[in-house]
Amino acid sequence: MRDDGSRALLLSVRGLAKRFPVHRGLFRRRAGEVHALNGVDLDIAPGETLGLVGESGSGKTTAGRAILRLLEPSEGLAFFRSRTVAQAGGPETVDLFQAPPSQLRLLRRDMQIVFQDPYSSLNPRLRIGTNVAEPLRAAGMSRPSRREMVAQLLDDVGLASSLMERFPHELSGGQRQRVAIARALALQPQFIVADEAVSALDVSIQAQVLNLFLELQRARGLAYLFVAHNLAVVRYVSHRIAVMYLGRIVELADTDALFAQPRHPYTEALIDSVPGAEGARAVVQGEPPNPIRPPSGCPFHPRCRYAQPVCATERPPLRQITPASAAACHFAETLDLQGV
Amino acid sequence: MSWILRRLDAKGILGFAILAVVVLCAVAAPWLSPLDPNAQDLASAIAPPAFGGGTAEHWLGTDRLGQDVLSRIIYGSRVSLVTALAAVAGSALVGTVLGMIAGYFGGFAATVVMRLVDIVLAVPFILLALVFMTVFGPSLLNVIIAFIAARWTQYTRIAYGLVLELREREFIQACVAAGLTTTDILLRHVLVNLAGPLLVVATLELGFVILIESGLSFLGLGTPPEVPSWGGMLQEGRALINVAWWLTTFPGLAIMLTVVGFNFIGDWMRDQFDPRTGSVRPTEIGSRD
Repeated sequence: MRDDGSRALLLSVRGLAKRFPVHRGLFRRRAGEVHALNGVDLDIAPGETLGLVGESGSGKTTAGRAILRLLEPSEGLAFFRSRTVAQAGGPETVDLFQAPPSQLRLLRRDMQIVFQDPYSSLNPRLRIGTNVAEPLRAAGMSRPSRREMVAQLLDDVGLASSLMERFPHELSGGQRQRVAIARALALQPQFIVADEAVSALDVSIQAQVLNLFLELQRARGLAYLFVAHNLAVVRYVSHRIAVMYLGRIVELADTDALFAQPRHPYTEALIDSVPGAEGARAVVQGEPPNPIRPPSGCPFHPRCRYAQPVCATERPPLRQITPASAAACHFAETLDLQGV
Repeated sequence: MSWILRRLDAKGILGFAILAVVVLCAVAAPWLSPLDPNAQDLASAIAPPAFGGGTAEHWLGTDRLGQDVLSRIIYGSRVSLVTALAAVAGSALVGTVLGMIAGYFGGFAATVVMRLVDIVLAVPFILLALVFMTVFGPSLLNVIIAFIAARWTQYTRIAYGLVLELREREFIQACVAAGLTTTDILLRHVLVNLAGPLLVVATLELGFVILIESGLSFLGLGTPPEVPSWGGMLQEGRALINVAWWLTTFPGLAIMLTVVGFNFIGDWMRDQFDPRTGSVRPTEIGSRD
C-alpha cells in the first residue's frame, strides 16, 4: 500500500460501524439490528482517489454518508486533516465523529458529496444559480460575490454561466450532474464523496463526467472516495480500490494489482461478472445473505466456490498479502485467482 | 403570471370570475350597494324583488325591517371573505409549521403533533364552535380563532406526508452536507416544495370556511346580528320562508356561488399539480413565475 507514513493522510477511518435497529410487530419493538458497516478501516491521502465497490447492500453508500456525518456512525474514529478548522485556530486533525456542531459546520466546507440521482439532488424549485450558491450563502458570502463565484464554478465544470437562470428540469442528466459537482466544489473542499455519481447517467455521458472528476482532481488536488458498483468506472478513476461485502472490506489493493491478481474470491467474482465480449460468467451464485443474520465465519463462504470447512467457522481478518494488496481470505496466498 | 392565463379552462375562468365579483363587492361595498344595509324602512317591509312585483328601489326586495336585501348581501360578502381569509391564513400557518416540524424531526415531535391531529379531527367542529362561542361570546375574531383551532390539521397532514418524503431527497441531504442550518433548510428548501399542494388545500378550505361560517351565523354562533352576514340573513329569513322566499333564496345563492367559485379554483389548481391529469407538474409550475 502506498502512503504508509511517507505522506500525511487526509482522512483515516478506523473501526467504522453503523447499526440500524430493526423494528417488528404490532408495537414496533426493537427486534434486532442490521450491521450495515462492521469495523471498516480506510485511509485516503490528499489528492488520492479511493474506489469503494460492492453489491447493493454491501454498505458502501452507508460508509460514505457516515464519514460525512449525514448518518450518525455507531462506532469508530475518523481523523481528518481539516484546512478550515486549522485556519480557525483549531487542531490540525479532527475526529469527524466527535466534532461538536460548531466545528462540524466548519468541517463541512472541507468535505462534500455528489449524489447518484441528478434528478433529486437539485432543488426543483430553485434556479441553477441558487442551487449552486446555497453552500456559499450558508458560509456567509454576499450576494454579488456569490453570483461571480457561481459563474466561475459553472465554467469550471464546463457549463455556460447563462444556465444560472434556468431551472433543474430544463437541463439534461449530465448537465445536472455537472451542476451538482459545481455545488460540491463551491466551498473549495479537500475531499469529495462521489456516491454512485455516474451510475444514473448514459454511458456516453459517464465518460465525460468521469474525466471532469479527474481534471478537477488534477487542478485542485482533491481527494475522492469514489463509491460505485461498476468496476470499470472505479478502475478508471481510482488509485486504490476497496471491495466491500456485507459491511466489511474484503480486499483493499492498488488498482492495477487488484485487476491483475485479485486476492479475494469475491473480487475475482466481481471482475468476472463484468459482461465482456464472450459474455458474463456467473461465478457467484445466489443473493447476498440477510445482513440481520450474517453467516458464521467468513461472510462470503456460502457463495464462495473455494470454500473449505474452516471458512464456515472462522472469520478471516483483513491482512496484507503483498505490498500492493490486502485481503480477508484464509487462502489468499494459495488461491490462483483470475484477474483481467 | 402569463402561464396561468394559458392554462385556464372553463372551470378556472368561472372560478376566478366569481372570486373577482365577491372581492369587488367586499372592497367596494359602500359604492356598490344602492342603500345603507342597516337603514330600516318599515313602510316598505317585506317588499318582493323588482322582477317579482316589487319596485326598482329594492332590486332583491326587503326584509322584515325594510332593509334592502341586495345591499345586505353586498356588505355580507365582507364577513364571509374576512373570516375565510383570516381563518385559512391562520390555520395554514399553524398547520404548515407543525407539519414541517413533525415531518422533518420525526420521533417524539411527530408523535405529539400527529396524535394531536387525530384528537382534533375526532371532535365535531360544530360542537367545538358551540362551546367556544358560549364561553368567549360570539364575535368575528372568535369565529376565526375557532376555525384555526380546528382546521390547522388539514395542512399538517399534507405537510407531514410531503416532508417525510422530501427529507430523504438528495438535495436536502446536500444542504445538510453544505452546512445549512435546519431553519434554512426548512424555510428555503422544504417550504418551496410544499407550497403548491398546500395552496390547493387552502383554496378548497376557503370554500369550506365560508359555508361553515354561514352555518354558524345561521345558528346564532357567528357574528352579532347588526353586522350583515349571509348566514345571519338566512336565519332571519327562515321564519318568513313561506311568505318571502327572496329573504333566504338570494343569500343562499350568494353562499352557494362563492363556495362553488372557490371549489372551481381549487379543482383547477389540483389539476395543474396532478401529474396524472397530464397538466404541468409542480416542478414546472414553480419555474414559470
